[in-house]
Amino acid sequence: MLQPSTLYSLTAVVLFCMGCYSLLTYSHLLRKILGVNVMGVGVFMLLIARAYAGEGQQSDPVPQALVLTGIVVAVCATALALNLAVQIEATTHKADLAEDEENNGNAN
Amino acid sequence: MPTDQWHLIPLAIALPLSAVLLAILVRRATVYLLLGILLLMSANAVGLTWLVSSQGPKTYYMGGWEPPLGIVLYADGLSALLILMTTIVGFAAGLYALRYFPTKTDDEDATHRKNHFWPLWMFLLAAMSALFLSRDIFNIYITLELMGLAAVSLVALAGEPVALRASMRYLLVSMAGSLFYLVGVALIYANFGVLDLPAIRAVINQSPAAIIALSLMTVGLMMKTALFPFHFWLPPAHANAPTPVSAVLSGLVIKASFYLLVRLWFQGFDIFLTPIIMIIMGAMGAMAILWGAFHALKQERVKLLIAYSTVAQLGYLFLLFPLIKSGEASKLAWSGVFIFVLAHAFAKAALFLAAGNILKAYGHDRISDLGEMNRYIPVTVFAFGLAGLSLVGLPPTGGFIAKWLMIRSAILGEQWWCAVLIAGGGLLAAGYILRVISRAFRTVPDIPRPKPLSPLTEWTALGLALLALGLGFTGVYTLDLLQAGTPEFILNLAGGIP
Amino acid sequence: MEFLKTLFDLILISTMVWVAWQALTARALFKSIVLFIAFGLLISLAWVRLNAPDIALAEAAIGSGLTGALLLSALGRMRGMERGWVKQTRKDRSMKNTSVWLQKTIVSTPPSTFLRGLERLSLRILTLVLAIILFWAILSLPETSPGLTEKAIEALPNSGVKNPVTAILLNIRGYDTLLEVAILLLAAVGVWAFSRSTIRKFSNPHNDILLAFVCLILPIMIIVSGYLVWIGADHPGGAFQAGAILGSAGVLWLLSEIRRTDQSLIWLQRIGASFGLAIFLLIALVMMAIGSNFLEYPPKLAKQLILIIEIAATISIGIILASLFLGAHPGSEGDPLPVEETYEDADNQEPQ
Repeated sequence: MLQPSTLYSLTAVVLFCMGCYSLLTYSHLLRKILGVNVMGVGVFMLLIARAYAGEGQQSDPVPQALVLTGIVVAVCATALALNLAVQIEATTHKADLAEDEENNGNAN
Repeated sequence: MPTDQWHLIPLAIALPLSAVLLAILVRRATVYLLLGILLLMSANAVGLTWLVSSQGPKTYYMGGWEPPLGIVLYADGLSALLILMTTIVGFAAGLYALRYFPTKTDDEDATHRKNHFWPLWMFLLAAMSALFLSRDIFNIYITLELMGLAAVSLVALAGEPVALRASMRYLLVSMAGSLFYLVGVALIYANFGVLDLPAIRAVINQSPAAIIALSLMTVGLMMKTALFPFHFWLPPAHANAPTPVSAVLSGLVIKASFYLLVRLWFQGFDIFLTPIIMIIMGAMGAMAILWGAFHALKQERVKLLIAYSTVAQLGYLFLLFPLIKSGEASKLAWSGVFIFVLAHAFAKAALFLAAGNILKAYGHDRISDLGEMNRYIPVTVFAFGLAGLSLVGLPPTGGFIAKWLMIRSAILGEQWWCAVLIAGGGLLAAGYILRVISRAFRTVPDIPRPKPLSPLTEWTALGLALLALGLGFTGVYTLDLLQAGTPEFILNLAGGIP
Repeated sequence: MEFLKTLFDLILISTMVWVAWQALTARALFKSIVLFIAFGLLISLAWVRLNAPDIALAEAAIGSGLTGALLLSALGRMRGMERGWVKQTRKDRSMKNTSVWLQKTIVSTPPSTFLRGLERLSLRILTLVLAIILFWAILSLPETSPGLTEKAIEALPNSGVKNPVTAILLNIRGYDTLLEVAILLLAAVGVWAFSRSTIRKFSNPHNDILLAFVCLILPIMIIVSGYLVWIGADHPGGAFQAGAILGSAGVLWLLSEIRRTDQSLIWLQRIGASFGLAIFLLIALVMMAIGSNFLEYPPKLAKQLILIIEIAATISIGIILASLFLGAHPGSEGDPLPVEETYEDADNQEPQ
């Protein structure tokens, strides 16, 4: 039960759920983005924890490669999200997603 | 590694990626070069389709490595057809985009944004090609992210605050959906140690981890495909994006996650396909049809109407699940649903392009303020009407063939509620299509004369609508193609599922 | 010994979770972001603990460092902040109105009616249910998962490198990496679409300490980056970690404004960013043309090819990451607003 593999896997779940809750609960965009990032860390931890093969043993390299790719993809998505958030804040002076604007506007 | 590897397969991805580089580095006369690449991509897709139809499905070992260590691409009738669909719609909407963005404008920001359209467009097409060919569940995650980020950036190009917010919402939903999917991937790998779908199928068992993994992957993909009740992000995003982007989003992107769901459930995890699951999926599809159509009838703007129509039409796709009941019925359902995917892609893209024309000509797309469209933009009106025919499912369009196959399947499999739903949904679609078409002939006093449209924008819309029509005539050939590589699950359903 | 290791694990895990919780629920956004950076560093520790040093390098540089920089930069750009960080000062009552307004836009927004008590409760329950389901899934997993480790080690001699992670990343599952480099370029294009033609200037030009530091550290970072690429073939390291270091060097360079930026840099950005994908794709296609498969490297040439690709990728990744930080400049040049504000009221409000 207290194997590093299991311990860290369970932690991964906790982080994932914390991030998910944060994404859903807060309305400020930056907090949502933070939440998504923590969710991502949770998933990565799940992959790496299960890749762990014991002291001095080679951890499974495949999940490591997957997580490396995942980290880079996450930073790309975060950069785009932050960019959008800054744009939204600059044009609407609010940094959250109002729920009432679905049918507004005359955008093309 | 099998000796004869078809290099057309990786070319489907390499070509658009090269186009991206061209679009970033070369800029000016690039547009025509890019259209040339799009034509090349279509040719590649046609070649691939022909190869698959004559020689059957084929795998391609990326890097020469064998599965389960390496990544394998897989081209069968379904993926070849979907890639063909992607290149055709991508080409048509790309042509439209040529004349869509205003060339001379005072808005420096808008001009600056439009300069970045083509690389993003090509990224989107590359991502979709990669997605349709992939068979490795992690590779699928990467293609999903590429597609999602490209789509979000394209939506944001519109620049209006409402488009930016819609784009942000889309991005957050997309990221969350991908992460749910990735948790599933992590659990599968942790439990079985493989990432290749057929390898998974070989070793899968009914363990809790597998069930939970599949559920999470399904929820993630449903979020991305905007199935009810995860549909809330779709209407603002599709309606407020630049028009060619809307066309591709509703026509192609939204189908990609549905395609993945089908691949997962039918070719990796089919041991979990129980009647209860089928009914649940079907029920969600039914809700989507009704909810989407109902809201489409209420809309005041053309583009929003079409976006809600997409929500509804996606529901039909999920009727595939309850229709897989017994031998013949499931074959009909499989063919019907995927011809539906094709027909809808052409028709919905045509509708959006036509709506974009209306918007450009009249300066707005409020339905109640439109009038006399047949006088000023007859080609557009005709395109809208024709595409609408396919959407409703009237002969001789592709939409009719699709719905007819699905209804036959429903009757054979005794899923009467599906048959009623499909027919009823067609009536509802007729309702909201007519709302717009009726304005075309209505004489409204004091309407300012609309601006003239570029012929290219009108004829690409019509072209796509004609394709939806043409699908109705060539449906038979498409059927044969779809059989290539149909999952054994479908073919071997002898006694059927009670 | 075992007990000590488990103790370490428990301490690390509880600290991680606590810091994450604090980061997500802190009332001031600045505090959230800084705690998130700290969280990232703790995660890197966890990666080292779990025998994943390549990932630890990447997490520290990209996941924690660069993401933190991006977050702080975004926070700073949200109205009224010309600098990338926030000063905390005592203000007298006369400035209170302005500062309250600043607080509202930077720190937290007024309580939205979006989530009422019941909705919040149901979300809590849903998340709890999700956690329980996932716990169950994890506890049902076998002790040791059948992994692809052996197959990977077997394939190692043919892959041209000795580091298994690099082998998988750059050779065996190189297709994933190709798409990943494409995603990086995509992010750059997406961000460029919203930047104006002038590169944004940071308004902190005469910080001598920063200048001195940068002059010292920049060459070291470039050397370290090159070293990481080279060593990545046989030891932990590789293109992404090296690229992240290079990107951070770029960020520092930009922040210190050693040199005024101009139009020509835009072209450098474009070419540099595309370089990685271009080389990767070119090699893949060439291999296909001469008879092998797409992305297939003959074992004799593999090491060299991988090195070429990694170097190209490192340069691109560095430029792209710095571009991402440079980011978008919304609309017109930002209005100069008072940079000091107070956090007196911040602690009394609920996080939004």
